[in-house]
Amino acid sequence: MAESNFSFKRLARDILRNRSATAGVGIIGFMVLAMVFGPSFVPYEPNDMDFMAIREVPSWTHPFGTDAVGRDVLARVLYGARISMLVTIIGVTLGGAAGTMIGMTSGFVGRWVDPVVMRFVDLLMAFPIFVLALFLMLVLGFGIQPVIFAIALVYVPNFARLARNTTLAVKEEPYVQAARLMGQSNLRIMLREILPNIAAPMFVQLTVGFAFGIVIEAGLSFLGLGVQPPDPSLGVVMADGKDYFLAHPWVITLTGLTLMVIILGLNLLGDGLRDILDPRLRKRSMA
Amino acid sequence: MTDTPIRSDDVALRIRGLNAGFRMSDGYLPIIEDVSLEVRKGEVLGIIGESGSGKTVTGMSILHLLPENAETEWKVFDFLDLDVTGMDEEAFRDLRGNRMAVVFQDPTGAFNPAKKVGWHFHQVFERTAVKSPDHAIRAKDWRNAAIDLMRDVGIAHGANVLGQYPHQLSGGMLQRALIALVLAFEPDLILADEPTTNLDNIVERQILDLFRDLQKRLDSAFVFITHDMTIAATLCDRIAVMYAGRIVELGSTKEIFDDPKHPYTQGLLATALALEEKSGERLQEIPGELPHPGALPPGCVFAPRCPHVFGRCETERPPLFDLPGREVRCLLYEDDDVSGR
Amino acid sequence: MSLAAEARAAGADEPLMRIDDLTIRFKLGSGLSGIMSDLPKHLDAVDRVSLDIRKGEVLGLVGESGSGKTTIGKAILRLYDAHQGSIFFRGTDITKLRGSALRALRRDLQMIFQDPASSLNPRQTVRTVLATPLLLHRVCPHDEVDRKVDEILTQVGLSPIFRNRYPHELSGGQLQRVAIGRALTLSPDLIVADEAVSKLDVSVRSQILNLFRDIQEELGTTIVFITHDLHVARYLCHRIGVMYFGKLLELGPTNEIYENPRHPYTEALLGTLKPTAKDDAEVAVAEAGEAYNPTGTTVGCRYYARCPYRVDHCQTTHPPLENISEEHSVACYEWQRIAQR
Repeated sequence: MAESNFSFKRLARDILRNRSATAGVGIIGFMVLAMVFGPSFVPYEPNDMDFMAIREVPSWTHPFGTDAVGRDVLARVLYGARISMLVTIIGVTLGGAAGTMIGMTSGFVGRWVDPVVMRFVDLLMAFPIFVLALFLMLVLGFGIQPVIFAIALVYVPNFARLARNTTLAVKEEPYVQAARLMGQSNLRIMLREILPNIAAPMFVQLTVGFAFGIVIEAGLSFLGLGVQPPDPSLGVVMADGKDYFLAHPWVITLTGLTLMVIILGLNLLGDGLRDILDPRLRKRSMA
Repeated sequence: MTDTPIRSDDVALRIRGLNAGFRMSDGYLPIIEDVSLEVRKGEVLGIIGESGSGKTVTGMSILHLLPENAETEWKVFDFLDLDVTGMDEEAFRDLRGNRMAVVFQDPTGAFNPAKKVGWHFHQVFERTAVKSPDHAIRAKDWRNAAIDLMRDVGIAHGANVLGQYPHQLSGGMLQRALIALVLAFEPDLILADEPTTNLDNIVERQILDLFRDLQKRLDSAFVFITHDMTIAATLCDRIAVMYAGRIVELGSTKEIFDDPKHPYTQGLLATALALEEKSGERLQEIPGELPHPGALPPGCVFAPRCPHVFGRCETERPPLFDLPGREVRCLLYEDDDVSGR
Repeated sequence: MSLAAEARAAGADEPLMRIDDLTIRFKLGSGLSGIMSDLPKHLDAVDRVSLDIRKGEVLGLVGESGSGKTTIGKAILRLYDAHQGSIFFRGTDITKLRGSALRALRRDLQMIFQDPASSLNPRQTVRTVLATPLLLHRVCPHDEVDRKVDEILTQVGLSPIFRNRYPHELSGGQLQRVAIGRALTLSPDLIVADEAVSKLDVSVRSQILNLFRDIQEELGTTIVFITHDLHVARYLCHRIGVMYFGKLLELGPTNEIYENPRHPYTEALLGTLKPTAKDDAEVAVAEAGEAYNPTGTTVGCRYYARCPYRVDHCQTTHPPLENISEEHSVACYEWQRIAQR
């Protein structure tokens, strides 16, 4: 596996050298800045209605225009992007952590436990995301929390599978046997010997997960299954705009473009990271 | 592609001034420097060196099989009567595919895991069918030809093996099958890189015997890379000893074993033979470690570990001195140089 | 064991470890395909082996791959469960231990692996590797760990500079030294070295073998040294056991085995050491390796198929291991004929 110890400096240098990763970092960096600081620059609150200025075309006062009840779309998009990203990141990370733990333990313990756990994981994977989300709504009610859980659940199988498979490979390595011979408990072995050595593909999976996770979030919110209006999330804003799309396409188009750019950035970042972690193994000097 | 004939003597491979290294994330890392060698048809040249000596990189350079981030350059690279230096990649790949064979440490890489062993033989026979009418006839009856070859390499049930997949054979069997394929292929150049390191003593002996047979039957030039001097002794006509990316001694096997000149060669031989003695005393060691390619000592690369080091060794890089029947890269032999350097 | 018996045993030269009729069985072909085929369902990698390991000795286990030598080494360390039989260590049958009792045993039995690079966690520094067992088993207090780590590094011939290095920065020889250091941290009674020098270059091999020698002489650690290399075994071991497909064929003092082998297989193995011979014995060994089907249901002598001394009686049951002199035992009905040669 990866043969070098992790250092931020080296990571930064490798990122700069990879075009995909640099672009990804650039886009996401910009987005994050916009989300964090943007709202302070925009003079409007996302929920401020102004019935004197409904469905306005983009202008200097309203760069993204306004919606049917006069809310400034740019403000809504910025806040919405923030919420979307947060929901996605928390959800995917939660799912990733849980999935990794489940998969790693299952793969490590093996015997009869592994096939049983993996069948449960398969079962989870078989559920369509929206059915899952709906179910969670029924149980937990509407709002941000159920969406986070829904996204987390969607990603558990993904990470569990990956973690399990990489664990199976690492488990057989002599250094794990050596750790066992040292008398280390199974828990210690999993945390100290296995986890650090399966971490790399997990991180890549995480960034890839973010990219699709945000699509899931937007989709759920669009359908009304996620973040509830009037709280903006990108999906909610688009849902608002869909009713009058033909007359006033700006809302849905500009929001959609924003979403697209975010996803593009995350994808580029994920691709770049995957490249960086891979040829690092190839760029050795053939001892 | 330039294929102006140079000289049709019996030198199959001639390399002069080969340098190679890798572009790493923090700069260029030189691995081998000023490597020059010649191999005649039907001759076995051994390249001896420990891990990190550059022997594998040398072999891979010859075959253009280095990874993407490698950079190579040479002053002369002749293969048979072709000047390969200017050749483009595709032409070289053609040449390599038709005239060169490689035997690696792990034979599995040479086989397509999704195809049976028989398929591989069929491919080779088809390819060689164009060489002569005899070859064409053989290609028609390739199954029997394959079984015969496999018997030659010690595979008793060749017919069964033809129908098996590579992963179903043991390491030793697969290596034998590969040698049979090489026999069928009749290449002009064979490169073997530590082909027996993974095998047990006993199987190793047999495989080495097979290589000897190979060499007798074919007229190929044979480059044999290994870290084990005793193996080299049984198989090679001439030996090139490499250390830290340079050839430090070059000469006939017998002469080098009788009279090793470079201190490193002497140390290698001593440690290799020590185990075979029955003395039971402490084994001879070469103290210290190989230098890192990026941090070579300023003078002779072996100086820090050399028992005969003296003043100039630490500041001057010795060239390869020409002695009668031997080349040595050591200042101790400066005065014996016959080339008038 | 009763107290009286224990006292008696302590007075006599009780072996450090007694392996009694041990069988290690691996299941084969699980799943549907296994059930459908008529291949045997299990492989006895170690087949009813009995063996004493004496305190302070270096016991060599030699054999080809598949002989079971590695399996028995791992079985000693409880990395495998016994199908049948016992391993007595300090009066207790360790095959029955579980949980915390098993963990407590870990202090006393350690292992050194074949591939030094993969025996160390690539993400841990040398310091972490050595400190972990020290802290886990409370060998020394927290504030003394660094000092102890340096002490161990010096003991295995590495400078304290290596403390903060990662495995990928070390050479094969250095890695193996760290692995040996790690094994020594708990001052174990027994170390199993599984092909510990096979992957090292010849000159580095000498260094590590010397290190093993030093450790053994200075600390009196008992070592089970598993190898396929007969030269290495001869250099390092006091006694040698020859294994073949799960069976122990011969056991005795090193000199005795090398000078007066009494089993046909041992004789053939030793024949391969001679640099020139390619006689019948060698061929016998050669084909033997490929001939025996370990999952078959042979009841007779495992070596029957290729034994030049075989008689009908040999097919009935595998010969038991019998003492032919005080220190030398052989599992062969015809050993006297070999003695006569």
